[in-house]
Amino acid sequence: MKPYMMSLTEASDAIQRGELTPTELAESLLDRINETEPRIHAWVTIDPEKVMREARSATETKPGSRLHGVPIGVKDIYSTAGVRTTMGSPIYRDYVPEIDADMVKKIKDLGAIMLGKTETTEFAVHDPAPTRNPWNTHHTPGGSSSGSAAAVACGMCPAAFGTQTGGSVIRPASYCGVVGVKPTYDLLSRAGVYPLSWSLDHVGYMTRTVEDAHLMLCALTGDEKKWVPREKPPRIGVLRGYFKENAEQDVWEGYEKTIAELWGEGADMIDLVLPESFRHVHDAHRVIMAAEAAAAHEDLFREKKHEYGEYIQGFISSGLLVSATAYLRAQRLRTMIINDITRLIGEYDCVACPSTMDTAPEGLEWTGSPAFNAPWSLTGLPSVTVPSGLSKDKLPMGLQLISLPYSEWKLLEVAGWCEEKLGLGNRPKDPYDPED
Amino acid sequence: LTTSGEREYIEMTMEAARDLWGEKDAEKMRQQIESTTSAVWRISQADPGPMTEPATKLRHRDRI
Repeated sequence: MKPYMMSLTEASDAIQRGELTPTELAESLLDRINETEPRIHAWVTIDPEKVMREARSATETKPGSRLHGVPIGVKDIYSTAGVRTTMGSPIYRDYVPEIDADMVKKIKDLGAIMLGKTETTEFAVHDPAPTRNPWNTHHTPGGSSSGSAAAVACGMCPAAFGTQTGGSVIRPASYCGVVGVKPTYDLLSRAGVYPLSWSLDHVGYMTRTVEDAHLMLCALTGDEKKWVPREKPPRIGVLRGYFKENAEQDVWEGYEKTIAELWGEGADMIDLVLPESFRHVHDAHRVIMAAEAAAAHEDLFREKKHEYGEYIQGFISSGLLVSATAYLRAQRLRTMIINDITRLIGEYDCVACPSTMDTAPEGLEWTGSPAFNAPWSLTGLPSVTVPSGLSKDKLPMGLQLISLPYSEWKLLEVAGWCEEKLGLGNRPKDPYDPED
Repeated sequence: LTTSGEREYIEMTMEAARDLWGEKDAEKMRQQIESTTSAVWRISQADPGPMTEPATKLRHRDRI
């Protein structure tokens, strides 16, 4: 097997055993990037010479951690010392930060290699990146962490960082058929990540397997836990209601099939009814995000309004018109929603819903709807997406699992159990263009 | 706010947008302004009660 095809865990284990060098891994990934990038456009900045220098240096050093010598992609809103960081905006086209974001520093300290900067929608909002979906290059990979999801999916890197304010980790991960993790709010440091909405922004990441997601979580939290595949079937609360009403038919049928499969494997699948306060989720999310984005961008926007894309101009302007009392009302409704949802999840290992309302939309004009992810960004609860099957159009669908605050470890155990039972492959996807 | 309709509230907000950014820019941004303003209007119809504190600082650690 070529090194680029390895999962993060396989590559890490091979490096630890001395069967693979960081140099060989980096060479293989850069070859894969050369081969697939012209069709995918996942990267904003990549410096192959720097990557190879660091890989050779790692090869000469004894591995000190599981991430030693492993190249990792970083969304282009994370500050990277000495490496251009554009935020997907022409305003920052030549901006080179002096320091690393906390998470970038963390992986570097563990011996990982910062492979390059991945494409993002403008300021992680809406105006799309040029990235294409490896499963069908005429479709969006989702956003805002577009490049990270596409890069992991087609084997350009085994793991990559994203961020989520609405649905920007889970949605692109699901559209691209990889595992996405949005941990509990504030579990991972946002320092050095360009803010969009302070109380909604989450640092997250994508991998190709749940075990890899566990390895990343160990590294990023410093909490070394051994991966032990779960044997006991989980107890999962099944969400329908709002999700059934808003999912496309193909996605909903796929979700019901997945629920039936997991039940057939022994999971306890219990129907749950969403609390009444859930109807305020999207309005509260919109008001908070618009007001906080307006506050975060206010000074820059005043100076360079016309250098912002059309969508984000309107979005920021709308936030500047939100009153303080409206913002606080949204945050008070958020308290009600968090209390109700955490009570609902209470006795279950996690709850489930589809990761997205549709499969990756055709065209690159927009990156799809975050509607099925925003509730978990608003509540700050940890969520993960696991590939659950393909639609009639051969596009990936995902199962989204959500649990109580700081229960990521158990959530990943359950996700791993589902991944094993659903039995989908996790090798890199060769870019597919139906016109080829 | 509670006595006016959603449409009136949106137009009131658009008036403020025109004052701030001019007619042309305000109209270009109408869709986003309408979406946010509609959300503001809808949450104004919900009553979380004065004892419900805003989640400006998430307190998950207090819950466990």
